[in-house]
Amino acid sequence: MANPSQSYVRNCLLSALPAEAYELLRPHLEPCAFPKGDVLIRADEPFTHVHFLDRGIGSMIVATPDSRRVEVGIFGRDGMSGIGALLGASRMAQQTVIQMAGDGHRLEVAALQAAIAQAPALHHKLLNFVQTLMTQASFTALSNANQLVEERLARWLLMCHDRTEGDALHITHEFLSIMLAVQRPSVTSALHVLEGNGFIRGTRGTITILDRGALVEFADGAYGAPEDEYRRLIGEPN
Amino acid sequence: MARYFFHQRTRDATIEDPEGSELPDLEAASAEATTAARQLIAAAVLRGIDPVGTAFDIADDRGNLLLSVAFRDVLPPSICDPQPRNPW
Repeated sequence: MANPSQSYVRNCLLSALPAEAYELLRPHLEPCAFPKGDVLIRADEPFTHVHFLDRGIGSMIVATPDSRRVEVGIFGRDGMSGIGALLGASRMAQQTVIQMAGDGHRLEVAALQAAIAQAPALHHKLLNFVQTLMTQASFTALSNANQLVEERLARWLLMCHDRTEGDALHITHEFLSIMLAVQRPSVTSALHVLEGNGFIRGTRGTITILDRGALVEFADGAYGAPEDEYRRLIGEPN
Repeated sequence: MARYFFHQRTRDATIEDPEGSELPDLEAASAEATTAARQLIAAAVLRGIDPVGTAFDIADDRGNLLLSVAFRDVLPPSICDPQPRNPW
């Protein structure tokens, strides 16, 4: 089955590319499934593919040598893995792993770079995405430095919600504890606060968003700027 | 490895841990509870309020209580030790 024409593409970044740029990539896009836990890119190892998700969520994580970790970036159908390939790097310091299962396409780095050489407008649009990831990472740093666990959690839940269909997030407290760099029981406690306020409902394995507006307000300025920038540079993510 | 559940006792009720953590042994679970209690206490202290939690009850996946870690026991000794009694 041929890869979809651009009007049917689910990944927002691919659908925002100039038409000629998408057509250069189209024959090289390989459909794939992304199971939970799949390591797309290992830290400090050369990588051969980038990945465009249609469904699911990928996380970029950095770790100390003794495995203390924190999540520094999150993407779904809004973006891609392996931004190092756009910036002259064959290895990245961050690990990229699938946190919520999904599907999409992968693309050989060599094919991506060949297409970029032919179409500078392709590079430009993909770099717009890199810009939004940097802004997202900046607000993650701000949030981590200044906010309480429950406020940071509200922000992350909104970001996950943006990248899933429906209001039910199938994420574990353990995943959240890595994203937020806190002990897992602290996550359970922070979820209890959000639930007590009526913002979410938590059951085993699932967190359901009940009141997005209240979560945005509770996140107190740490959510919104990277999302606005994405809309300005790339387009409406949905 | 086993799954340990950290139910947080508060003054009003117990916050159930629906998920648990995979850890090597009870000692590791105790260390996790201690660190989590310290995080929760520190966050409350910074806001000038009392933490809602009073202890973590660590249970196995059948609900058997294995160990409790009281929040008051995770504070540094310099804060907890009472003043020396005035002998006069």
